[in-house]
Amino acid sequence: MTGILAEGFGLGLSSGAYCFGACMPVLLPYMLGVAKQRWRANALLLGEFLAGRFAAYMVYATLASWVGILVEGRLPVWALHLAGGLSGFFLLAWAMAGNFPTVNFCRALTSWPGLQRLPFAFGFLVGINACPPFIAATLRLIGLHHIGHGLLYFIAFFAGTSLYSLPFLAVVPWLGSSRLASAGRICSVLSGLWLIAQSLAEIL
Amino acid sequence: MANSAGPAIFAVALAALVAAFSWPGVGNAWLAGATFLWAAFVGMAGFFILRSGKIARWRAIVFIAMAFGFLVYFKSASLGLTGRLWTTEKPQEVPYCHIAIASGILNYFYQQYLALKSGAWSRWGPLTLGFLWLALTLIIGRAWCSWVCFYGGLDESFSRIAKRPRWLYLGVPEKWRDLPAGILIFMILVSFSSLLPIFCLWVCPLKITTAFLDPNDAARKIQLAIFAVLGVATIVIIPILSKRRAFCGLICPFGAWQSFFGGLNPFRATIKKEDCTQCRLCLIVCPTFAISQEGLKKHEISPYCNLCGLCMDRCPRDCIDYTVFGRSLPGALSARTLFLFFALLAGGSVGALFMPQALSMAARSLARLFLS
Repeated sequence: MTGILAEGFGLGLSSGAYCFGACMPVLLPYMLGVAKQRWRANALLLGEFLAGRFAAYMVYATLASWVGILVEGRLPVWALHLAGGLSGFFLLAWAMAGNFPTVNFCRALTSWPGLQRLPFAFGFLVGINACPPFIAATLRLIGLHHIGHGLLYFIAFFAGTSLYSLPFLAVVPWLGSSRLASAGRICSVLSGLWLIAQSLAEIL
Repeated sequence: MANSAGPAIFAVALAALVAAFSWPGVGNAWLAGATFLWAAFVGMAGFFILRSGKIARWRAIVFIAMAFGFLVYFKSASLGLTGRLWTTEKPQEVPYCHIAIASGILNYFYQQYLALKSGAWSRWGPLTLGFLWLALTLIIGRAWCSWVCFYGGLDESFSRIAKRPRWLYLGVPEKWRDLPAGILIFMILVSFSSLLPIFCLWVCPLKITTAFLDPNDAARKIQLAIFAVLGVATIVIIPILSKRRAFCGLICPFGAWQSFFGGLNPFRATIKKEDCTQCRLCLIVCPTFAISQEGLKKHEISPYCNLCGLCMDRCPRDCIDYTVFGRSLPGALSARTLFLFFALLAGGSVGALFMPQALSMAARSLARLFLS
């Protein structure tokens, strides 16, 4: 068991920069757009995002181990790309709702329950992401042929990659500026469109 | 006569410094002649600006000449190297494209690290470019975009075609004014995330100065379509209709970068509250959307101001001028003279990297044409 934990943590630690890169276009524009100035508020936001990622890892580890045992690695990769596109859609919806609150469609979007716990949703959707470390972890998971071991492996993998999320808090001292918040919301629109386009390109 | 003495001294000093910074040395008569010509041209622009007190016309002449000189020089180089004028099989390495800063910043830091580690920092390379940027930012700050940038003259030239704007658009909504900053942050993030220069690959229509990638697959066809639509709209059509520099004011990520770091530089365009009548002429003529209705009420100019001087020329009460951190300088040397000297010197020196070659190439071609 220690070996599995060490292996998962090692993979997370050695490839976490990719995860940082994958989370960045979603989490950073959102943090800039929300513009909470206090450390505590941003730490909570990051915590919620990580909780979403953790939930995604656990659900995925359970399913992938189970499917892996059943069908020996035939996982629907399109579903991973779909998750990326969905995170883009949520980001776009949030930013549009912030930029055009008077437009009916955007107002309806802001009041939608799915937009109330956005950091968790982002974490969940970005967690299931077809990035190279995640695919490497998936292959190992399938090879383990054991749901319990698979969960442990992904817990350790999550811990290793999550260390790379801490630099996100470095932006907190600048978050007071209204210009930066406005730029963050515009960046969210662009990031959302980018993620949707990328997801469609991969799926099609 | 006495009225011209000051501008003449200014012009000679300016031309001498531009020539000194860019002198190619002995042995190349064409290039030496072209360098002299370029330095004299910049000095002459300085003379007329100072003598007339009007900034925008001569600034625009130098600025637009630089953009088209750059286009001629780079297109000729591209033709000579690849034999093709508009498209290329592989991405071309552009030696000094400041607009790619958002896309290439990580690569730049990595190159700086390598240069420092190997001890080769004294050679011309990324580290030196970094210092060049820092020096220019400290000297002229955000004025880069209206006095030095060798792309900016493209949309400026189209913005000057019509005498009056056919489409008088008084500003972008406040929440979209930071579009360039949003684009800059987005480009930094996605370039890091994908490890690709996304702005150069997907957005920048200024690749017209070098070459576009062969549109031989679906992705490259889409890229070319984006370049064409964005380029025609923001460099040609919107500038012609509105007399605004749409690409520089609303898209360019380097403009956002300079608007942030430009705060390091002391020069500002400042509105004198006591003299301003809120006539809105400055708002109407500002080519980069730097003066908004809300801002004007508070006598504020946004950090996106390029210090181009158009508002100063148009203000009927002369209540906008260059200042140092919002204040006039004591003594005989005004903030305006000091700024104009540094801005023209910076523009002239950067232009000297390619203008003499462009002029020399044009002169040789003309000579061949008439002598053959």
